[in-house]
Amino acid sequence: MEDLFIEGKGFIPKVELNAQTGVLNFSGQSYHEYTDEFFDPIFAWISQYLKEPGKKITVNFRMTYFNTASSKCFLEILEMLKAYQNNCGGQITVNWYYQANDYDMLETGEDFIIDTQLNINLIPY
Amino acid sequence: MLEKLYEYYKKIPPETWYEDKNLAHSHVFFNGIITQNVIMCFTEKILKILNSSDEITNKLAFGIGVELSQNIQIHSVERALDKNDQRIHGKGILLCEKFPSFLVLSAGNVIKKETVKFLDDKCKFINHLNHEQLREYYNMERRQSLITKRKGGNVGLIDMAKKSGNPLNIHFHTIDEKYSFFALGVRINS
Repeated sequence: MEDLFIEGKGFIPKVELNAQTGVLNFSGQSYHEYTDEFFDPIFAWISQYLKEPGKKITVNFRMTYFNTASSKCFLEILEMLKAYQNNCGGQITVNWYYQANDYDMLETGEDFIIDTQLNINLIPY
Repeated sequence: MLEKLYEYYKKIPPETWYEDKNLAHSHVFFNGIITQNVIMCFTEKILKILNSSDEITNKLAFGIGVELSQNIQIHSVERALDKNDQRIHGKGILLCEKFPSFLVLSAGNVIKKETVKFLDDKCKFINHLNHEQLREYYNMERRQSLITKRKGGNVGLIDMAKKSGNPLNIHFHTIDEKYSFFALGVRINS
């Protein structure tokens, strides 16, 4: 399976989905007007990648800003990973990076923990 | 200013950044099709007018500017084709105003009259929630949006109230028997 790489610029986040290492990185800003459309190939890639059970996957979110539509898309990604962990023997690590004084970004990470019941590491930088 | 936003919407030339010489405080309007480029320009102008060295306040203002703009993009009844990107976007008016201790970001667009009560009720409901209740409500609505596969997050209003820590200011202007103008203002303490 090929990697998926999207170069970030302005309102588009940098996306690096590595099929060999199982490391999925999201960073930068995300506020595309057509957010759902933008995330479609990402959902398709993850869905394909999760077809084989028992993989070890690390997801790193290093977002500086994302809009509410992107927030829904991140929730969907986390739900896909949660289902994979619960039903397909996946070992999932999620790291949520936030600027140390950015309480809103910290709270967002906490809210994803509450909402998904996933064990998400909240990591200040 | 929310009460006057419709007047500006009618009088400002379309597709221009505009300053009213009669207003003493720093401000900028945009009236027209809300494209991705307009949003990027609007957020740049917000940060310039805000002129703050506090990165978190800047991020807050930036995020609220994006959500206000994208509300128009998605929900405005008036829609038009942008010649540059060949896509259809919502039309409306954006305003950034700077006062000594706070910034006000406002947006206005035409809505169907039957939406007025829904929006009025929703904003009033949001305004009576505290921060923790807003977090819970946001999570609930975001999940609902995921389940029902609605476009966007559908939590923009909650997000703006949660981020700003201030109530949403709203004003409705009746245009005719079918349409109203919805003006929304968010105050950001600086």
